[in-house]
Amino acid sequence: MESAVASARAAPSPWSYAGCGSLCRHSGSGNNWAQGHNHFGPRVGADALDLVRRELEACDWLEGFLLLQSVAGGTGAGLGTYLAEALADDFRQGPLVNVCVWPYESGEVAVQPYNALLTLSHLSSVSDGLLLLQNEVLHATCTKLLGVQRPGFTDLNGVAAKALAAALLPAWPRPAAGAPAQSPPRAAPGPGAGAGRQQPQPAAGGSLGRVALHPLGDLAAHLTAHPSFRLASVRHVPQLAPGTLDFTTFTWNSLLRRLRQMAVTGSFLEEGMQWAPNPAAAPGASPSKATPLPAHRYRNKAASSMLLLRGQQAAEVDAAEFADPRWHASWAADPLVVAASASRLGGCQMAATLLATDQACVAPLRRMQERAYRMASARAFLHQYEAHGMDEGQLLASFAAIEDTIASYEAL
Amino acid sequence: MEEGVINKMLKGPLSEVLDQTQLLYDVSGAGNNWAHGHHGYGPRYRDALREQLRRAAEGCDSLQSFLLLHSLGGGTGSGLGTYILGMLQDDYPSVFRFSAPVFPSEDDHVVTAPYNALLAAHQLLLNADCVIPVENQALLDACGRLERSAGAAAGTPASAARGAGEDGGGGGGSGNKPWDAMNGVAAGMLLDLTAGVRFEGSLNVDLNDITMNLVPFPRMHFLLSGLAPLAAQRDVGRMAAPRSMDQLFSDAFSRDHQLIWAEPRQHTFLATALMLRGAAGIGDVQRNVARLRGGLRLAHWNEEGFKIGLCSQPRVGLPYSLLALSNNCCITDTLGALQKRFDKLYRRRLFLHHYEEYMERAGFDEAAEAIGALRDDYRAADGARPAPIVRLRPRGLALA
Repeated sequence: MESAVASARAAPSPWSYAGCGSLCRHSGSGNNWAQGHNHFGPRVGADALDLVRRELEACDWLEGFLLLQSVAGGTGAGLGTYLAEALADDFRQGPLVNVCVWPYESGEVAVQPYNALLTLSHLSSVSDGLLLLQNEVLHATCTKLLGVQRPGFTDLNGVAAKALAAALLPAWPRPAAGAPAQSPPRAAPGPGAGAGRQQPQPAAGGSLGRVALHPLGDLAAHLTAHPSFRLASVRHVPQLAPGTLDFTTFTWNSLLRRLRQMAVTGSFLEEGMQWAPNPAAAPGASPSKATPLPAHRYRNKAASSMLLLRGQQAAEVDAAEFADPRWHASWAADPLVVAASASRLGGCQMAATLLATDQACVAPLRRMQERAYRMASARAFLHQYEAHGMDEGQLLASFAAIEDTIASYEAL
Repeated sequence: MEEGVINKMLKGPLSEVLDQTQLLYDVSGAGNNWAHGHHGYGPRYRDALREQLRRAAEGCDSLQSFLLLHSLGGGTGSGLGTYILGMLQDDYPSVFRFSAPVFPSEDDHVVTAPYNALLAAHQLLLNADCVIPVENQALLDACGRLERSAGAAAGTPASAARGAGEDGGGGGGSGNKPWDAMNGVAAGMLLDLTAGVRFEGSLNVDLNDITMNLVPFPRMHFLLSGLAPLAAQRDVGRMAAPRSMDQLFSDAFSRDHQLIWAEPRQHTFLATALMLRGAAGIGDVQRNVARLRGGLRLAHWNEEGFKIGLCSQPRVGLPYSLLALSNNCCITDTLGALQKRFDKLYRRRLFLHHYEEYMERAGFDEAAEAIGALRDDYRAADGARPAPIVRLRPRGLALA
């Protein structure tokens, strides 16, 4: 929107952005969600949709829309939300998935509680799926796992990009259990479309389905299909410093066990996890696959989840433990989709990614809401929003929507 | 306005930067009389001023804001300056108006400075979006410390006034005050303030971001600025470099590094912005915010509200520098001092007849009352206790 766009376009990078594909104005929204949504939105919305239409007309096949945005500021959050609403209105033929970057808890912007709640509440009514990436988690991944002492935004973006790539690159569905199955491939959207998507499989994988997963379509249709559970988290293992890759031995067993442990304990880092089921009961018991956490130690539950395996033998490995009924909501029918691809991701022999609509989003949402309540009770900063045509009622409506979201996740 | 002052400025080192066509002359200034500047010169030059503003605004690709540099003690800067502010409010309502006024100090050599300052402050309260005051006394102290630490003899011969706060609180740059160094410090603050607009950075701060993040309530827009390292451009070379990044953050919140005389740590921070220039990452900021937060009194509704700006271009001669802008309740002390000096004169109705030539006496009462109310607002916010919060109940729980 501002000069940042121009510099992104000029920066030397393996990506290239066509000059006509970007929209540039002189100034941003000044961290004001209402300004971005109510003021800039109507002003530049038509131009932006025009750009989208031009891109669409060049497409043979529309997979869907992937929006990357922050939730804290004014332009990404406010204008981004406006555009998401406009896309949902105009182009209903493709799923709309938003990748939302959750700000640091200590704050990059003073008004981020308002902005974040407004964004999420508006998006959850138009978007088909929201992937939440927390800066705090990305930061901790950099410092604790990747060995970057003073991470900058480039490092954080690197971690986020890798997780997204792992989630969205092509993969082929397979049954959760390791044994080869003859069941027909699921998730074929339509005969014509399916035929167009048949691709040669990269390597021998007996149990892989013939039709590739639709990264956005299947995400929307399976993972975030329930309207109350649109918020999904991304967990990716392994997170390795680039230099250590050559000296690491990979086994699917350990990788999946760690990922599963991260999931059921609600942690985002494969570090400092709780392994011991109950120290008092079994002092010397080593954690093993046979004795996972007892049921009452399951800290985290998901409405649905999606497991993506990449690397050698990804098609055969047994991932049945992710189908654990204790990890999923009791009412969920067929909550797990497993997909695999034999290609390596970023040089890793094996990598696993878990997307889940789990309760891990509750804690950050709660904290953010707590702060928004405190701010609103002092009526701080409200005049800035009122200046751009948003009254307190609208703010409260979005508070209520977030309360709903929190409550439904907590009730899992 | 005053021909002599302007001519002196044109002879100075900055003459090439100034647009000759945008100058407005009169034979004499407003004679240290706010009312003369505001109600006399203001209406008289209204059309000329408006024309010149329009010409400047039309030349802009992207009009970010108006930045007004003026003193509050004299007549022209405070009177005409605040008049221009009101004009901008009428003509460009959506463009933010920043003001960086020089507040008069205790021993100001303009007798009517208390009147001028309070009347002008009232206008700033009404018409500015953001006020970043600077005090001569604080600048003088800072420069004095710098001289001592540099081991040089105190006192720099005053030369042509330059840059910000053109004649430093109404007065002809006489005496032994290091105007250049003081102006340099104030200019440094402005440079850091606008760095996000002028240079690239991984977390850029526009000027409109500043009002958004630092003004929680419309009237409370008087900001405290802390600068680290605190030195004019000229003196940067002579100064010891900041020991570490962490030192920078501690300094910016200490009393000695504020551009007005204030005790920021004794009062509540309503909102804070940290604008870092140079080779620093978001990690450094996060670490320091976590470290400093314990020692600061933060408003209960905004305990995490730090606005962070990162600009990759450092100030000339420095590896990194930090500008900490905060909306701090310690501004009550500054406003209180202003009011006390005003009352001292006003109680005896001294010099009032000069002002009554141009304005009603009611204007005085109105200004005093408004500033008093602002002080009350700040005092109420200082150390306000959290009220019990009424949470909304989730609606959609019928199934659970």
